[in-house]
Amino acid sequence: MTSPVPPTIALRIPCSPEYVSVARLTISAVASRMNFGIDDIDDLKLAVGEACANAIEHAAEGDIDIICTMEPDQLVLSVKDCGIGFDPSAPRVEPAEEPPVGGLGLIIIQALMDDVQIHSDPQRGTEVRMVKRFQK
Amino acid sequence: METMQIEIRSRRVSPNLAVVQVIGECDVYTAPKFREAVDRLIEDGVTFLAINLTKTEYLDSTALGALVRTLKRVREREGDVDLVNVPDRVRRPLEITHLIDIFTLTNTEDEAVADLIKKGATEP
Repeated sequence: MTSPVPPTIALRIPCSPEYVSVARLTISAVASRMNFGIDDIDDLKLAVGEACANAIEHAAEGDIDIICTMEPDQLVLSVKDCGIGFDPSAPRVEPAEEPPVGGLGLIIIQALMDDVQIHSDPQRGTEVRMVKRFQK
Repeated sequence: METMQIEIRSRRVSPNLAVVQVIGECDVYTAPKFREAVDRLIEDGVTFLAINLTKTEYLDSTALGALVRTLKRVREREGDVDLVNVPDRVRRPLEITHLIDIFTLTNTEDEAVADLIKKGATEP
């Protein structure tokens, strides 16, 4: 017997800063529907906001596709743009005397999510795939 | 879309000291408004800032960048920034990025003002 296909919610927003809050609100509603706790919902909102901000920085035009897959024990999020891509291994934060101003978004995403995969291709844009599991 | 989810209120305490309240969401869309407000204060001679985050609902990496940029600008002028009453909901990104370590944190605006005067701000 095959397992049922998990419910999926898809959102497409213009690649522009004023729409990032729409993505955050949507993720908040989806996570709330799945009974995630308040702290996890805050984490998901922040991670999706950062992924969208990253898409805006690197894509500049077109749309951002956000897909939420509501699996029984986790929420899988995909944030995809059609921009020029970037090197996901590049950003690093140093608690240095000369503090950084940019490049913090991916560090935040990696700290907040249980699993993060980044696929970036100059021809096809960037997809940030994130997983948040229910805390046991 | 005309939804501006941020309000910046500033109060001048002395010629080089101001308190700035960040109300609402400070993100990739609204952080420029914060940056502009703070830049105006710095251009007007403010080098010590108490940034009150009590009513800040959300802070993303763009907002963190704006805070760090502000800190760098005032430190170049021998000033400083204190963060006032950082709520848990916005503490997380500051902790993850270790940026919380480069700011002085206080519980109240009065505490921040006293601390900044100790660091060299002029008294009211």
